[in-house]
Amino acid sequence: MLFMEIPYTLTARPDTGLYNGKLGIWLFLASEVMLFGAIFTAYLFVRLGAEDGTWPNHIQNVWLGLTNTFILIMSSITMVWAWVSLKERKFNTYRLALAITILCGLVFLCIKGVEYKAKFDHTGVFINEDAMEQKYLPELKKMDAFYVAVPSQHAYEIRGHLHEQTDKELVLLPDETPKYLIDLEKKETPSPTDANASAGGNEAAAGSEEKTITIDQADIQRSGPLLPKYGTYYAIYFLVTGLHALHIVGGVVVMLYFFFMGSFLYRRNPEQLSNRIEVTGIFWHFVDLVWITVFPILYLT
Amino acid sequence: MSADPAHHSEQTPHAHDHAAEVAHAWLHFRDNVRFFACFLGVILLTVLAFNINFGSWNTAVVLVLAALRSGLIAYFLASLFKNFSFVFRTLAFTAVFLAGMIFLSMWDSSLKGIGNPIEDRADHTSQSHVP
Repeated sequence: MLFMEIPYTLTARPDTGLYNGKLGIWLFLASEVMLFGAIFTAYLFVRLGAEDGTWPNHIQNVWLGLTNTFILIMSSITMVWAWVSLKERKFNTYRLALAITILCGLVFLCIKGVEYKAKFDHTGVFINEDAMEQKYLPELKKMDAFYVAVPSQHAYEIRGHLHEQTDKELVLLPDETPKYLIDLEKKETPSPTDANASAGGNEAAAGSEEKTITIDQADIQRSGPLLPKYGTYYAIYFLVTGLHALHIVGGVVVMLYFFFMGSFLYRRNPEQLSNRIEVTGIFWHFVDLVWITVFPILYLT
Repeated sequence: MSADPAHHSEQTPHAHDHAAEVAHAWLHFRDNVRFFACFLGVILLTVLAFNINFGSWNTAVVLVLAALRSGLIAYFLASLFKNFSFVFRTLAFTAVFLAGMIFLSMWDSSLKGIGNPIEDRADHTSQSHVP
């Protein structure tokens, strides 16, 4: 049987300066730039075209996002460490570095899962402006609940956990004002008399651990869980982070293959394994860079 | 480029100066650590700035931080393929194609009378309420 050696799997082609795998990954990344570029462009148009107040503020947990950023950055470093270890022919160090990278990827996905669950568990409610100001606003202020005016829709939005829902009313445990949010208005500290008065308010259980608010269905414009159909922001959020998470899953699967098959591949040709890890690392860096772009535009709004 | 495949046949890894390769790999590693430390620093600065109200300087601060992030990303990518003009040409073409796509979208929007969202926004003032 005649075997033909595939050229440039180990050494670079003189004209491109790249071996096959590296050329392939760069061409693939060029297409990825197009994909994410198109989505970010769509985001730009949608964001600029959004009506006043309809783009949610402070919906994301910044600290979770920041933790994920830190984890991905660390994983990029350990990925390069794995490659350097192979170059040094230190197989055990390579496996350790790769295992840490895989672990970082999995932790990232777990945190992303926690964030997704928080969205699924939350409910957003758009309340008519007049009803909000007359019936619910004083109560929400006393509860230090987070709410946003949406002038273009003559409504206010509040978010929280759904306690109970009937045809006539909806009981919500509203989110509190985020601790990291700067208070642009000077809040008056409620006097003890006010605090007592709130107990007799619109069914607010002031003083109890769980402060709920009951909203008449007639006052609600629309409500629902924070899923893509709830608003454009959520559609963009789930699209971008979901696509990014798929890339993480892809990267982790490839790394798992090199982790478990590494011994065999290393014995066969360590230099080829080193090239493969380098190519995987370039992909992983790209995924990291995409996240560094995604984090500020989706979390810091 | 020679047409003779034998001219570019694979060399065994042993033919390379392995020590030099390892030294280069460590250099690359240290560069990466520096880059990613800078990334982390800029991200932390961004989060810090997100928590501070700079008043009329808000836009300027946001733009500076965005420029820092973009610059770092561009520099990092460039450092990965600085020796490979082929990759550089490919990605430059990608950038031109992407810019063309954005231009066509904007052109299409203006043809359909949707208008320039940036100019449209100038007529409105944000009234989002922060408690």
